[in-house]
Amino acid sequence: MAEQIKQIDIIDPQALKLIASDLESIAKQGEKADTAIIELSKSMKNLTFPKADTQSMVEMEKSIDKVNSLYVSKIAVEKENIKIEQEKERLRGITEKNERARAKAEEQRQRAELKAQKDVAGAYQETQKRASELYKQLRNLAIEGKTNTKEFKSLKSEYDRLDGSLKKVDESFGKYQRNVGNYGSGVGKLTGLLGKLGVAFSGLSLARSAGEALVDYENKLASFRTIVSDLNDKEFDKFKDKIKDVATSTKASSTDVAQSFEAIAGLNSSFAETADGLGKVSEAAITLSKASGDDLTVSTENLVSIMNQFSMGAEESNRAINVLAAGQAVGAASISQLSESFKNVGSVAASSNISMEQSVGLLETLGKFSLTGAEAGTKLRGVILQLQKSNLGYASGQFNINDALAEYNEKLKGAKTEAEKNAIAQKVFGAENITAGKILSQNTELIEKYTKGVTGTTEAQKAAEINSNTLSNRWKEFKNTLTTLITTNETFTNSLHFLASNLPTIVTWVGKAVASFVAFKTVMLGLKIKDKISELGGLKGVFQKLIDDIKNGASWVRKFTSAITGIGWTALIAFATQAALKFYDLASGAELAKIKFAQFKKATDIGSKEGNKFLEQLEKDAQKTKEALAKSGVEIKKGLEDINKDYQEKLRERIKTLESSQKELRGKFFNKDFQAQFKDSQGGVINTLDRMFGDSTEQDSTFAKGLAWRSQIKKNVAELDVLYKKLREIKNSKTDKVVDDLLIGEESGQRTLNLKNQTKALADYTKALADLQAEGLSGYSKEALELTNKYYDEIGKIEDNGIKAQEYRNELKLKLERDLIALESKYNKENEDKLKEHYENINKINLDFETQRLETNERTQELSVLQKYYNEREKIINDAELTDEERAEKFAELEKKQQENDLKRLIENEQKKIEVLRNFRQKTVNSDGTISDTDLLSTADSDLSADDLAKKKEFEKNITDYQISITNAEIELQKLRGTANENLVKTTESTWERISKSISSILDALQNKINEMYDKQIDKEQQLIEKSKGRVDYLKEAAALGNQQATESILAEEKRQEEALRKIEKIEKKKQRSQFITSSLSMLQQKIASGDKNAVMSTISDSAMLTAFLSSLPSFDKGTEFVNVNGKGIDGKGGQLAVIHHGERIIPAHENKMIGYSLSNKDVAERFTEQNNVIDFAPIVHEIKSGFANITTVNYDVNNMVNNILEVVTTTRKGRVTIIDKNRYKA
Amino acid sequence: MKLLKLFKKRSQNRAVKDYWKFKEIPFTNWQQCQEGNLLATRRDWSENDHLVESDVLHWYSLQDEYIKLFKVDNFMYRKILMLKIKAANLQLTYMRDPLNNRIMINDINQLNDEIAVLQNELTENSITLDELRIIASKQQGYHIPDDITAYLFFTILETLKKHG
Repeated sequence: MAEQIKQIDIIDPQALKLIASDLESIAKQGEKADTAIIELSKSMKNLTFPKADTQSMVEMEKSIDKVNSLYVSKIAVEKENIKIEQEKERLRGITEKNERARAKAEEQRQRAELKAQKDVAGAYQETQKRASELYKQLRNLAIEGKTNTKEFKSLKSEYDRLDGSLKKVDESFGKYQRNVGNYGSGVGKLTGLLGKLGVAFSGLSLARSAGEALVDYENKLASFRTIVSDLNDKEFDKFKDKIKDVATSTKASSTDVAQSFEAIAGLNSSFAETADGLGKVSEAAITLSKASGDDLTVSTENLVSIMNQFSMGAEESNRAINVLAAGQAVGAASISQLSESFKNVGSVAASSNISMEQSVGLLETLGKFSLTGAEAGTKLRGVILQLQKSNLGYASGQFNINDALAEYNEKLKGAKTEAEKNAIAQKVFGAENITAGKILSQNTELIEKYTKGVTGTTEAQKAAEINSNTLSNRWKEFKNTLTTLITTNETFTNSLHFLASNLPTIVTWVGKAVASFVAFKTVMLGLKIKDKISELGGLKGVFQKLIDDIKNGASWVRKFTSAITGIGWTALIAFATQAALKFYDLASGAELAKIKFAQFKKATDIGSKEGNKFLEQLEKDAQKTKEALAKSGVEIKKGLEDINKDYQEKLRERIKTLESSQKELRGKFFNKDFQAQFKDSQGGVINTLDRMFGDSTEQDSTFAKGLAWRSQIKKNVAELDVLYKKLREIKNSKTDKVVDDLLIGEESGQRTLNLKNQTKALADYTKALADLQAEGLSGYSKEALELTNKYYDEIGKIEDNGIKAQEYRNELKLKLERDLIALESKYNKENEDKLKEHYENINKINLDFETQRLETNERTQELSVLQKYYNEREKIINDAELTDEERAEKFAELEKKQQENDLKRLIENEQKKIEVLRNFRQKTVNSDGTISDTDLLSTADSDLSADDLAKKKEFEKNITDYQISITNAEIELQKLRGTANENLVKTTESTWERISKSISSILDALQNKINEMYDKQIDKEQQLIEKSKGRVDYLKEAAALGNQQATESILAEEKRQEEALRKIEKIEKKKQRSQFITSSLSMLQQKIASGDKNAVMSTISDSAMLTAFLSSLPSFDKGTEFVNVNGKGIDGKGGQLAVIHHGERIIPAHENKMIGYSLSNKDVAERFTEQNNVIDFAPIVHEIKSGFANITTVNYDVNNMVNNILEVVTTTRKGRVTIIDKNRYKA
Repeated sequence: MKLLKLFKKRSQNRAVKDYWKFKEIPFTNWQQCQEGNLLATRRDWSENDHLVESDVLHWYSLQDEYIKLFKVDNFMYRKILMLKIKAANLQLTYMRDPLNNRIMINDINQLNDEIAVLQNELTENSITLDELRIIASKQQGYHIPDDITAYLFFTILETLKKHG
């Protein structure tokens, strides 16, 4: 049959454990999250109602959102935790259920086993009964002689079967012999075995040991009884009582005492005559046993034998033991050794009139010389017998050992030599006892001393007390007391019998009572623990208390000590209770403290974890920054190094090239040969020319040209000199600087960069100049020389050939002149171009150089500032004394500082850039070859070329940009410093100053724009007027033709014209006003720029003056025929200020002259209109008329039209007035 | 990095120069701002359509001016904010307490319910600016055009309110 599958078989406890550990880890994570949320929430400030401005409100909303989201996550975490707890609880339930099921199954199994065993026992008994019955029946049948009957056979077979099965059971319990009817013992054994299974083992063993003690006692008592067999029970009871008394007084076990009684009675029956005597001896024996540490049996035998040898009564038992113990105390031989000795010497000593004390004195004297135990006894016996044999010590009639020894000593004195003495000794003591005899005879005083020492003492009691005063002995005494109690107390014996028979029940009930008591005590203690621990100040306090108690001897410690010394049972129990309580306190306190410590550790762990996290984050950040800094630092350093290296190398190359070019130049110029050649060539040419022309008497044009040519050459040479001088100047000024820079430049990349650029520029410049110079010089002079040589050759040829010199000379001269001019112009032009190009390059280089320098500066500064910032940050991080809040504050400060620095640096850099642009000087080559420096920004636009102007504008634009960024940065800076208001005025002023220039241009542009706008408007209105005029003309015609609506339309048109005129007037006024405002503004700006502190006020007053002045100006509303002006006026031509109006006409003076001054303006107007009226309109009118004749007249429904064009949105009537809202965008 | 940020900020500042003043901003722009397009605070955002901090700040200043001029003190909003702050503070207290005083959750939930009710009222009672314009038009008796300035519009509203 398949077994039923149970829950415990399915659920593996290991799996449950795994799930539990998983849950634990999840719960831990939850705890972590929870603590993180707590920490985070602690870091947040409580919200207060914000200011009533929008920004504060919006920020508050944001903060609320943050708190909300945190709260939501907190709730989620809590929910999760609750779920986990539930899950844990469920798991716990499952585990417990499982455990219970397991325990139940186990119990069931055990019960089943027990039952099976009981069943076996029951079956056995039944079988046994049945077997005995069968046996009786069989026996009866056998008696009746019915052995061959069917009944007998069937009964026999049944009995055999039963007997076989019983035998099998017996075999299984190890019982092979069995008699019919003696099944009880076998079953008893079985039931005993079975009972053991159900009964607590400890209880059984206790009962058994008690039983054993009882049995032992009874056995011993029985054997004692055999010795005193003639006593009846009543008499024997006295002995029993005595045993009890002795046991109680000596704290020996009743069993031992009974044994000692038996031994004493066995050794000396006279002692057994009375219980008291026996008791005394027994007591003495026990004391001796305690004092000697021997077994009680041995001590009893020794004592009784000694007492027997010396024929002591029971009353002298104490004396005997005291002598023995005192002997041990004064001499070397112990009680046991003395007892041994007495076995050999005791009876001889007693018969030789030697007391026990004397014997002990003698034996101890021998013991001093290492003769102890049985040997000592034998030797002493020998000495006594030999002395008696030599007839010594009988002076008093009776043998006295002291006298005998004295006599021997006297006898020895008579001997003269040592040999004689030895012979006497040999003779007296014999060979065997000579040593002992010599010892004794030579130490008679010691014998007396020892004898006195052992007489009349209580050493035995003392020694017994000392030996008994050990813990083990006390324990032994306790056990003995218990045994005595058990064995001698009848009530106890009876109760023990009851206990033995009812032990399982008692154990169960006592166990229950104890358990409930323990539970009660635990609860009570648990209630007190909290207070106790807090009273004592936690676990530490408990420990301290314990230590203090021990040190200062607190009551319970004193009790402990007294328990150790006195071992009173109450004290012991009190001690045990106190100690147990103390240790319980300690343990429970430790437990609580452990929990507290765990909690504390957890808290600190979390705290430190969070802190660590924060610090780690900080460190990480710092590390990152550090790394980034280091990286950038390394990069920058590397870059700078590279630049340094690169440029140093290049620099060296440059310097080398420079030097080489200088050398070359020097070689060229300072080469004597060359100079001589050069001079020669110059001088040669000039001399030759001089020779040629100077000597000539003819002052003709050829000569003059020759002179001019010479002067030209001179001029060229002078120019070359100038160039060379410049070169030298540059060389002198710049090479030193280059060298300086080179020396210092190794220290910083910045310097090197600077140097590089400078050197590069210089080198280029010099080289270009040198090239130019060299080229120009060499090329020109070479060619000039060639030409001159050619000329000479030609002249030579002429002279050689004898041709007429004059003609050829003329020709050649002309040719030479032409060639030289061509050459010169060629070189000049080339020079000019190259120089121009060169300077352009220099300009570019200069600008690039400056900007690069600035950038490098900026970068280096940035690096240093960042490094500083990082250092400070690191300092803050490393400062362990700072709290987190302080740290955060410091960081904020640092941040602020950093931002300020950034801004400051920005401003500085921008200012530097502006400076660079302002200081920049454009170098240009003029058409005459000279070089000029131009300050682009300060030069007027008209004086600049188109390119330069563009450049200037770009510069100006850049400067404005930089200024704006500076202003922004300054505002930022002030915001940052929180002193915006204080510095705003200053900044505004400075900003105003800076941007005043741009403002003037802006104002100009603005005015232009405004003017344009107004002009456009005016134009529009004028166009409108013109169109309207056209329409009026047309309408007039139509009216003349009888169109009534046309008349109305004319009126409308006229109105419109008037309106337009009014509008124009208004626009003009606006224009004037705006002009006035812009001019006032520009005036204000100029004043501010010029540093007027009361700029606004003075501008206002000026403007007022200007308005007053303007109103005082003459006006020509009514017109004038002739303006008479005295003096030069405002423009030096008699110009006068005046106010003019719209629609007025101004005629130049010469046209006015043509009209004539006598004719008034009115006359002119009238005449002109009259002249106009003379025009014959008849044909035109006719044409128009004929045209109109062909057109059908149309009547316009104006309202309808208007309604069609303009959509009426709403019409509202309010009282008499109807308000119509129209869609004006439809038109 | 700081410099870069600053530079960016600077360039952005440079980019946005011209904002509407409160008295000039058109009603449509105001409407757009309220709907969330804060670029409408600028006079022109065709060149740079990235929202910058100054836009937001300007919108705040416009609103402040609006409140200052028309003395609009939204009692309901203040009440809601106060409740919200109270709830947030309670939440903070709850979170800070490691013993989880769960009674506090009831208080918080109660406050949140109150807030929800008030907010619901606020949204139900509020009307859009377009609706407001139409109502104002009706009351005025003529069409209030789209290109009216926000200031004028609100002034009209205020006047209408004063005179019933």
